Amino acid sequence: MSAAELLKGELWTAAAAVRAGEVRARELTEAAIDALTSVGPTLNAVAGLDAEQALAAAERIDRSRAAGTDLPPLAGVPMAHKDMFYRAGRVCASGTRIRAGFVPGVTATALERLDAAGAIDLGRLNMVEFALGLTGHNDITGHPRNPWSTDHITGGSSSGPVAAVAARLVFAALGSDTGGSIRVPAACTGILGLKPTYGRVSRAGALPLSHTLDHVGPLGRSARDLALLMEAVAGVDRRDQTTSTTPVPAYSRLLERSPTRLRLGVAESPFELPLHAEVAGLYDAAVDRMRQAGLRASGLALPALDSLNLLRRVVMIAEAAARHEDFLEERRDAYNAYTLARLDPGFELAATTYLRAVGWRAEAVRRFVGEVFADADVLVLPAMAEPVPRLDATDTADMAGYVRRVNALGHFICPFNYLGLPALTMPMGRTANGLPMAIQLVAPPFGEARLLRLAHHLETNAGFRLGEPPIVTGRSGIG
Amino acid sequence: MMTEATVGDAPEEAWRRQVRAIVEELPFDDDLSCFVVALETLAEAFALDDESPEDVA
Repeated sequence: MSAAELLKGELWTAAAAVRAGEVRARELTEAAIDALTSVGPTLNAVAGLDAEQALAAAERIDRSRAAGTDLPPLAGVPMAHKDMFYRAGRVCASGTRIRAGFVPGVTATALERLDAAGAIDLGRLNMVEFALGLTGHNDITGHPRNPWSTDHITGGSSSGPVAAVAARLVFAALGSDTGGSIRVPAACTGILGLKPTYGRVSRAGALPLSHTLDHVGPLGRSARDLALLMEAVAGVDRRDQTTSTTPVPAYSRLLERSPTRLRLGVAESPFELPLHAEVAGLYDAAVDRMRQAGLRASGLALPALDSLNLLRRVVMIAEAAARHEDFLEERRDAYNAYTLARLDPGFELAATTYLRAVGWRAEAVRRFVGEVFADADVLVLPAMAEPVPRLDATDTADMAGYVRRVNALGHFICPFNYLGLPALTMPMGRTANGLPMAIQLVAPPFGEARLLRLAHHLETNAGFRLGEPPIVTGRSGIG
Repeated sequence: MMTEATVGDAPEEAWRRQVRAIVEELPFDDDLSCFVVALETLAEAFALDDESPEDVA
């Protein structure tokens, strides 16, 4: 199989091909560079390529293999990441004018660990300004485009990464998720996104937004790919004091264990936010397919999410406002209007309100886990309530409407940032507009292995998998 | 519905009303250091037999 053909497939297959000498790391890297430079502009996915450094790293891997050295698990696999992971000496612009020339002096722990695992870092992918926004809009860099239809949103804030991974430009990417920024864009583009447990993956060297809610996690095209990435990046880190010493499971080995004994608690309507009829139909059909695939699925009354969403929003806007206060005083006019609409309310909160919201988190997760996981091992619920919207339906001068849309997009997603629970979105089908629609799986703390083996079973036995998007270009130009 | 009401006709007042109703009614818990410990404790309580701790990467 050629490097270009391998690039259409899964990361683990390519890694195995490099190890077996069936393809050279340099060939794979060149194929990814070709894809990023030919298709990347159509999707406005790329913030900056680092081709020379990537090719040099690939050649080192090829030399190691030729010398008979054992290769690390991700050796030779080209990736690129959300433009918020610091690499010493390289610009990290984070989708904003304010950091256009920012060159960090440190490298993110997650990138260091991917380097150690042999992955090739091809560069930086576009994102929502400062990782603050769920639709993917960015008037500064232009909006990245959804490869299923360039007239529809990618979701955000990991907008460039999902476009690049879904369109087969790179095998996988790292994203961040403070209020759905891995899971919503993964859902909009038909790939898998995992927000790990709070404390599972180090945030050191990743642009902070809200330290209580920020999570780093992988975006990829299969559960096995995510398992390999989690094995590389998870684990305690002295540079991030919130990381846990809980041992990192052998996620890829645990994929082989059948999930048919797992008790799936399927969230049942009525939901606080009613599902669009098309989404409801896909969700019901997905649950039927789970049962046909031998899984034990029972109905579950979902605890109230509205209050959890409110608590998360209080924490996020307070922490984000504090973090941006100096920038806003000096360069308010440099921000996107969308970003300001989310940041400004944070300055009106009382400190006591923030402290109550952040202090309640441990008790909130104890109550939620006790209620939901008493009779279920995995919670199954929708990812989004409506089909993926068009860009022009969300591209608005009405900032109140924009905030309302963002809140609705994150309704089923954001509570798990506040609760710190692991949550994974994966495709369950497509709506009539041709865009993907996802389902969400949630486990008790540090239950990533459980989510990945269930996802693996669903994609191999129940059709929870979409093929390559056709890259449908619509009427709207790159904004 | 709460998420809708946060940006209604009078968004600032709707937001303040919700914050008062939900957040300011919570008991104050000042043990901010315990969250990851709480997650680790829950993980032990809800672990499954076939997710053996020996299966480490």
